Amino acid sequence: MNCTDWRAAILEGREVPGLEAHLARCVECRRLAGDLRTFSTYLADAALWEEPPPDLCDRIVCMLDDRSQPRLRRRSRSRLAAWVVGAAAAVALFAVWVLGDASEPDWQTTMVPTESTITGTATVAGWNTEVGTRVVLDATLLPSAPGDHTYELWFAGEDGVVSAGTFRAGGDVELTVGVARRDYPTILVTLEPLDGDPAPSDLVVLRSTDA
Amino acid sequence: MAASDDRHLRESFARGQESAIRRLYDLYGRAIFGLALRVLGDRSLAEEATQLTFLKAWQAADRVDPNRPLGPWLYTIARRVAIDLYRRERRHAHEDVDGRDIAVLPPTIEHTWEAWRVRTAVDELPAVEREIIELTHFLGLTHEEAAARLGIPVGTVKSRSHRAHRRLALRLARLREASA
Ligand SMILES: [Zn+2]
Repeated sequence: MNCTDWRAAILEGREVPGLEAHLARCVECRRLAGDLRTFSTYLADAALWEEPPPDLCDRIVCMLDDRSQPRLRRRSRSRLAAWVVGAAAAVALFAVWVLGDASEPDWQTTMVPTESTITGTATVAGWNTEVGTRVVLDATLLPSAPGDHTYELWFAGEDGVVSAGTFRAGGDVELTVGVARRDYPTILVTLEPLDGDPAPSDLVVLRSTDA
Repeated sequence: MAASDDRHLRESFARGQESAIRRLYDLYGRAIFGLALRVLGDRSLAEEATQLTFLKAWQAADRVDPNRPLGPWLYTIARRVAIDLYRRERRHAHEDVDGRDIAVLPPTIEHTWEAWRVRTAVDELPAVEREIIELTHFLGLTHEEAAARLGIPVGTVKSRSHRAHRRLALRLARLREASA
């Protein structure tokens, strides 16, 4: 028997003569034995064997297909559309047209920096979806986040805050959040240390102006 | 899966290629659903979390470090989505809870990584081997009982079981090294 056979026996929970002797002389198998016994208990756990509904994959394919199609159509007409609207509006909306849906956003607002070292404004637009809100942020004013940090966009309301996701560099960012802006009217961008803490840090860098 | 396979799959997924979405679902869909169910304790919320995880992954797929392995990347997104939905549901259930509630983590969040690793390793097995693992571990059948249930010789069950456990042991050792 080689090491994989011994490990398979541990995982299988089989009493095999000679296993203890092998563990006594094989550092690698000894190191893995505890994990394998733990994994063996997971295999017996009913929760591990829960199956999603059979149509979930199709629903995900449909959802992503719906989202990809306008993305392709949009490329061919975005340039024309950008010329049709006024020059100033075109700048603000371009990111929305390029990244977002071809449809008008359900809402759009300006975000201002709370740090004096950052100048300018950012634009954020949102589309209400079945699962929450899709957000496109044009944050070209933000420098790249320092190596051990990331930016995070939050929806905040009376009930607390919900993360829409993280991004490293400024520019155009598309994110999704599982709530509606109606319930979480304030939008924040924070700078988050990569410390694994899922709560927002105090380092707010952008804040929406209309709520 | 090799790093280059991961990269290729993520690129096709980012382009919205249907075969890539289905492949990613085959590899990780059950693990994502299982994680969400563990955290949220509700099947319809777990479905919502699975959809949202795929959506977020799709949106981020072309911005992520191409060398980052797929599994741990999806796990991070799925975990985050489940925590956010957990907090949303908690807030709905306790309207009086104030903003400090956002720091609360679901009690079931522990051990989700171990369960994720086991589930993804099982899901990579050929269907006949996965079946043997399910019958013997989850249903607790002996090799003889499994053989009777499947209508195949005990010797076949034994060799299939040994092959399945060997494959799982190899896979779990690799995952352990990747996450060490
Ligand atoms: Zn060994």
